[in-house]
Amino acid sequence: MRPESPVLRLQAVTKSFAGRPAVDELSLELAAGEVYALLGPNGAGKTTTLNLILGFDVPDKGTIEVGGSCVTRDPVAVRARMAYLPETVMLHPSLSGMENLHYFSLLGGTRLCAAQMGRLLTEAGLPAAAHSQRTAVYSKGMRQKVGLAIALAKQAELLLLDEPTSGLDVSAANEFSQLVRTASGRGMAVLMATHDLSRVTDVAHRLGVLRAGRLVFESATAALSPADLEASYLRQIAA
Amino acid sequence: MNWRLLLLEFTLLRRERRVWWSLVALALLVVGACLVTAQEQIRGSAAKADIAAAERQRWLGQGVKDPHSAAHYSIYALKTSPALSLLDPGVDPYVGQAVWLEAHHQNDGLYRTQDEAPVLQREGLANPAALLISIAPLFAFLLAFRAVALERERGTLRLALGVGTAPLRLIALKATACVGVLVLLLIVPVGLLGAAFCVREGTFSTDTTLRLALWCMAMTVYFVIVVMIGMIVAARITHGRAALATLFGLWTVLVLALPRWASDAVAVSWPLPSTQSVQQALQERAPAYWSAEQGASQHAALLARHGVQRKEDLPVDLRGAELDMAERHSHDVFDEVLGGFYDQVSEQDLVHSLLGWISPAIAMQSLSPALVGSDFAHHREFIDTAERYRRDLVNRMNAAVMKPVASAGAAQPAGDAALWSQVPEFRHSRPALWTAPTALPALVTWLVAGVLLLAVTLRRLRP
Repeated sequence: MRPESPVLRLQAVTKSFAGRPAVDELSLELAAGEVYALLGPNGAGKTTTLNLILGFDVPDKGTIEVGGSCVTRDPVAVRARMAYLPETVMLHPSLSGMENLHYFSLLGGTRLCAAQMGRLLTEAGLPAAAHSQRTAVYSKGMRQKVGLAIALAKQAELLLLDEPTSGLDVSAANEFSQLVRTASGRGMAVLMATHDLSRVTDVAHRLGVLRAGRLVFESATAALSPADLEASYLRQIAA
Repeated sequence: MNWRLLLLEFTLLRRERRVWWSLVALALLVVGACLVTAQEQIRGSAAKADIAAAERQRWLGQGVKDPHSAAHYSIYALKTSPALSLLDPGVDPYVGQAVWLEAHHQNDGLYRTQDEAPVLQREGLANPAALLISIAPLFAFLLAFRAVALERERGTLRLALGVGTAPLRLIALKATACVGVLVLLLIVPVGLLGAAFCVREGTFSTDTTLRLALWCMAMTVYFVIVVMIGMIVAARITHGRAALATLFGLWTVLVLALPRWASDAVAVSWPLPSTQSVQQALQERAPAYWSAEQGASQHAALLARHGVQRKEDLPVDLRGAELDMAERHSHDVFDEVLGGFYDQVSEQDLVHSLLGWISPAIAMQSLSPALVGSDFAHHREFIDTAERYRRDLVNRMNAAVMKPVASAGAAQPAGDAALWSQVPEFRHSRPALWTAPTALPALVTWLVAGVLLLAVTLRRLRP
C-alpha cells in the first residue's frame, strides 16, 4: 500500500535539543487506512516525532503536512484533523468516562448525544457499567479505551499513538489491536510509536526503525516474519 | 463560549473537594464579614438617628437665652453611613461620626466606630472588600495553577491540546470557569446581601443600584486580572512547583508588600502637618477670644466699615457685629488651614490611587471605597456639609444679636423657640456617584495588559 495523496507527509524533518539531534532528516508518508509502526529504543526520537506532528514542537528544518496542511503554519487547525493518544491517557479523575468523552469531544469541536457517547465507549471496549464511573477508579487499559473513544468520536484523518500497549495486559493489548484495525478499516491513517514488536506484525502495514533520530530501516510488515522482524530490529539498533 | 464545556469545567471545580471547600470557607468568611458590618451599621445608624432626634429636641427646647449663648449651646451633626459600607467600610470606622457645631470653632469629628469595634473588625476580618482584595487572589492563583500547571502535570492538558482546541480558547474557557466560581461564591452573595440591606434600611435608590453594580463589576474585573496573571505564570513556568512558588511570591508582592509600600511611600513623600500644628495655626489666625489690642483694632475696622465715628452711631448692635466680623474672618481661615489640610489628605489619596499602576490590589483598594462611597472624598462631603450648616446656624444667631436695639440702653432681646426653629434640621445625604474613580484607568490597563500578555503567552502553549 503506497500513498497516492498521503494523509501525513514528513519531508527531511530535523529537530535538535541543545545541539543534539532528536530527529534527523526524517521523511515519511502515510496513506489513508495505513498503519505505520515507528520502532526504536528509548531516546530514538519517536515521541519527538509525534510532538512535531502535533505541533507541540517546531522542527528546525523540513516540513510536516497533514492532509496537505502545514503543521508549522497552523498547528491548531491541523490538530483538529488528527487524534492523539499519549502513552498514558490521563483523564480528569473526577469525571466519569462518559463525561470525559463529552468534555474532550466538545473541546475538539464534536458534539455528541448520550447515545452516541455510549456507543463509542462500548465500541472502544469499555464495559457499559464503567461508563458513568469516575475515571479515578479506571485501570490504564480502561483509560486507553476512553482515549480511543475520544479519537474515534473525532473521525480524524490521522491517529497518532504513543506506546499504546505499554502497561496493558495481553488481553487488553489484543483488544486494542483490534480497535486499531477497526480505525484503519474506517480509512484512518495510524502512526504508532511502539516498542511492542509482537503488536507491530499484528496491526501495522509498514514499519520503520529510528535510531538517534534517523530512519535507518523501513519495510512492509507482510514481508517480515515475527522472527525476521525481531532480528532486523535488533541488528538496526545495535549497529 | 460553549456552555456545555463551561458546565463541565464547573463540574471539575466542584468535584475538586479541597479546592471547592476552601472556596466555600472563604465565601462564608466574606458573608460573615458582611453580616458583622451590616449589624454594626444597623446599630450605629439607629443610635445616630436617636441621638440626632434628641439633639434636635434639645436645641428646640433650650429655652430663652442670648442667641450667641445658643450658638455655643449648639448641636451635634451626625454622619449618615454610606448605604453600601457593609461591602467596604473604607475610612468610615476611622473618622468621626459626629461633629460638635459651635461658634468660633470648626471641630474635628468625634466617635470613631473603630474604637468600639468587635474582635473580627479589629483584626480586619470584618471588611468584605479587604478579604476579597487581599485573600481571594490567593485562591484565584490556586485555581489558575490547578487549571494550567496541575493539568499539565496530570497530562490532561496534553490530551486537551491534542484534540485540536486552540490554547487561547482552552485557557479562556478555564479562566471563565475560575472567575465564574469566584464571582458565584464571593461576589454574588455579597452583592445580594448589599441589595437586601439597602432594601431593609430604605436606602435603595438609582444611585445605590449603580454603585452596587459598578462595585460588583470592578471586583469581577479585579478577579479576571488576578486569574489571568495566575494563568500567565502557570503557562510560562512549565515546572509545577516552580509555578506554584512564583504565584505565592507574586501574591505576597502584589497584594501584601506593594500596597503597604505604596501607603508608606505616600505618607513619607506627601506628609501631612501634625494636628497640633494645624490647631496652632487656627488659634493664631482665628482665635476664639480676642486680645484687647485685637478687639480695639476690630472695633475701629467696624466703625470705618459703617463710616461712623462712635459706636452709638452704628446701625447694628456692636457686640453682634463684632461677633459676626470675627466669625466671618474665621471662615476664611478655616477654609485655608483646615481646607488645605483636607486637600492634602485628598492629594495623598490621589497619589495612592495612581500607584494602582504597580499593583491591581492598590487600584482596587482605592476604587472599592470610592464606588461604595466610604472613601475620604465622600467623608469630606460630610465635613463640608456640617461646616456649611454650622456657619448658617452661627450666622443666624449672630444676625439676631446684631439687630439694633429699640433705644439706647435697652437690653438686647433674647432668642426663643421661634428663633431656634428657624434653624433647619441637619441633613447629610451622600453625593451621587460623581467622583471620577482615579484608579479606574489603572485597573483597565491591568486588564488590557493581562489579555495581551496572556494571548502572547498562549501562542505556543507547551503541554
